[in-house]
Amino acid sequence: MKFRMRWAWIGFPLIVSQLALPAHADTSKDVQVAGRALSFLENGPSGRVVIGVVYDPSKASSVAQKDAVMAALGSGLDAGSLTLTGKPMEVGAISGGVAALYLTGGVNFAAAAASAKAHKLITISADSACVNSGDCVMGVTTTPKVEIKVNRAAAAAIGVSFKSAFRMMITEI
Amino acid sequence: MKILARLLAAASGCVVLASGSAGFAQSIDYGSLEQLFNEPVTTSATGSPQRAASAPVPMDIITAADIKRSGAVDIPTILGRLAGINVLTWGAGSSDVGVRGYDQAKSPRLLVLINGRQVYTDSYGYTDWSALPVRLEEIRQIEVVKGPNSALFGFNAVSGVINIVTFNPKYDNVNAADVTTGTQAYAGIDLVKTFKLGDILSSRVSLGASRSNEFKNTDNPQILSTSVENPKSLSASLDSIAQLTAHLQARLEVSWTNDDQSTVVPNSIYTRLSSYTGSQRLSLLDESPVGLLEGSVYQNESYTKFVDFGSIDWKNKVLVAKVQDLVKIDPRDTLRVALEYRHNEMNSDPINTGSVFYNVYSPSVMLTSTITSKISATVAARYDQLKLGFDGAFPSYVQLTTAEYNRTIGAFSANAGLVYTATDNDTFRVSYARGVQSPTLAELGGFHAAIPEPFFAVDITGNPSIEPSIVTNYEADWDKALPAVAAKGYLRLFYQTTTAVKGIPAETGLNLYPTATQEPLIWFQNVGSSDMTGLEAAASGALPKGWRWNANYTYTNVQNEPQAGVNLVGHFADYAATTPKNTANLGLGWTGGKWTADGWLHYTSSYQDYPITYGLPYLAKVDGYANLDGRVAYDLTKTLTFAISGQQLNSARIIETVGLPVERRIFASLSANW
Repeated sequence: MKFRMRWAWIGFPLIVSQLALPAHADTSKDVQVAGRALSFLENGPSGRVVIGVVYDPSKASSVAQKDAVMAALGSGLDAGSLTLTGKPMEVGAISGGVAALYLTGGVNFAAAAASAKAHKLITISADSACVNSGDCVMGVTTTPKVEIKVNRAAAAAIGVSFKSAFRMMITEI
Repeated sequence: MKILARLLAAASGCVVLASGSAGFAQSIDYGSLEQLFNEPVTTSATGSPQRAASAPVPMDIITAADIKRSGAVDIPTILGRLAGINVLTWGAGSSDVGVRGYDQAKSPRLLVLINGRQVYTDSYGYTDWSALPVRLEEIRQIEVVKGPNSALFGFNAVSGVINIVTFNPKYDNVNAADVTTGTQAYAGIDLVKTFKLGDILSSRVSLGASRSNEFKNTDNPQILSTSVENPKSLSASLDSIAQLTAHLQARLEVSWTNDDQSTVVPNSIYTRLSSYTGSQRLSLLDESPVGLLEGSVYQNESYTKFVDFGSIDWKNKVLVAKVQDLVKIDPRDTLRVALEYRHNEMNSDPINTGSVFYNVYSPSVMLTSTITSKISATVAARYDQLKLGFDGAFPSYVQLTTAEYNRTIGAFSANAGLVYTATDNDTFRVSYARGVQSPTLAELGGFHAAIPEPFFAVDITGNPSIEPSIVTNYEADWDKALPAVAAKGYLRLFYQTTTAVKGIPAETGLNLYPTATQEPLIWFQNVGSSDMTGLEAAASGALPKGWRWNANYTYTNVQNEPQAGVNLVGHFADYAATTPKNTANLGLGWTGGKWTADGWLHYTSSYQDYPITYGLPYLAKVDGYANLDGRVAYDLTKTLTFAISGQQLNSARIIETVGLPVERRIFASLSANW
């Protein structure tokens, strides 16, 4: 019994380590972090900037995420040195006049990326598949902790790069 | 093998130094990066910016919010609430701080920096905490690295590194004023003001002054009333950043301090101490195609007078020049290469026979590599080549020649860390560190005195042949987050060895016997080895309705391995006896509306120390003690806060060290932040 008590603490960390909770996406935080990340672009935007929120009207989840993003942005969401506002866009209607595109889940990433490339727009998504495929320049998730992933080839394709300190703290592929 | 192969592959690519990109030169914008990642950011672990949670070394970070809520008027009080920190309070204005034991009067094992610039006193390698040119209001965070890190920072970074990071005037518009009064007739005033001249020039000026009555000596006749002085300090500093071009930034830091205090010196003599320090640093930072290039040069000057300890007047001047490149050489690997030059000199005193100096040349390299999405590794190495010299001449009756100072010391430092992020909430870290504690200038020759005996005198001198201490640390850490209960914590297990432990001259025996024409001599010397096992456990969290809590516990067990025939007590080097085995802290705080309240309970177990004496040294027990600190604050307006804080509320007087008994202190402060 004494032996068991003495060594029981070894098992304690193993038990405690299983207490992690499942992750839940937080659209508002994702957008805010994405906006803050834009301030680490070289020659990046400043002040009040408009984010194009790209969605697919035929998919309820995409529309719902678009609505959530627009609600989060409201009349102006402070994100570090930037104040973000939103402009909903369907994939086929992507145009210039915005600082970046936020791609909601369910849109055709490849099609959106092609339009974005034509307009030299940086693409951001909370879906890591978009970054891994090279359709998005940057992936941002905030739950359970902030993770930022940048696709260097996609960034180079539209001629953008990030500041050194930022690059040292994120995942690049 | 995969890890080794990955590191070798990355290292082979280092020579290419490509893939950097042109852009705006930026010093590290801690604030924006912290906001982005929602956690503290540090550069103290590797020289590269990274999240504190993923640093390859054990470290703690004290934030500006922690400092504001601390109720403290000095940094040691704040540090003492962390795991693994020992604070020896000698008087109202004098403390020594140790990381993981080995603390002693004027401890030379700790490297203290402000924005990467050393602020410890190089003459004996100690830190005069009252003479730091920084006000609490201008500190963004205090980064505390546990264990050796001399591969990155160089000499003295053996028990740990404390890097005080101030707000950056380019990015942080910090303005603050504070007026504090209290018991012991304490009075303090701080002023911090940031100025901006468009986007070109940003400056921050800080001024501070404080005074207090010294604690009363009620118990110790060995502490002479003439050796006790009311502490007072003055400081002024300027931090300016100029954006010279789109790619180039210049930073000028200038500081000045003057302080008086009463304190304890390493051979347990109580003395008044007056010091003056001045520092100037110029840095250039270029975000170039080959990475973040940085060049800096700084000079520290200090004048220290130990009034009642042989009337020593030490004048110390340090010049440091450094160039560095920090570059992400590919998506997985960040490389830092640096070259540093250091010139350090001081006069020999109280018998002034000349000056001792050395020049150090130090190349270093660091590589941090992402092995997989869950594993990262960091290796760092540095080589210090120290060329020692003595400018002057010894009297013929002293058994030393300047030729003995024509010596070169070479020392190799290394750090390696492997971080495994097992889950979103579990991070494991194993690390190895080899640190070099160079002999100080005092130990090499800056100290030279003579003890008069009835028929002769005994010379007490520095020792040009003393060897650097090597501190090696092996560590396994587990960081745990418990988001379900808004808590986090860590467990750290470490084993540390120190070889060539240094001891001060012992009056219990002679190192060199007298000759027909020369006096006997005793000097600083290496006295053996020691090892330490220990653990740190810490946790903190938030509770509903504005409550917060933190707790930590540290266990350290030091074992001595003296050289044959060496009496460690005589050399003030019995660290097994003088290191408390157990320390613990418990904190509880609450914020509601305009009110903020915090309390801290600290415990240090009993230990032994060398009582103040003018005779031969001996050890005596210092009983374990607990003290309770607290602070209550009320926000009068959005910018104005009134606070009352207390230290050692549980007792009017506690004997914590062999110095003066520590008294209860109460402070009232009015502070403005805008």
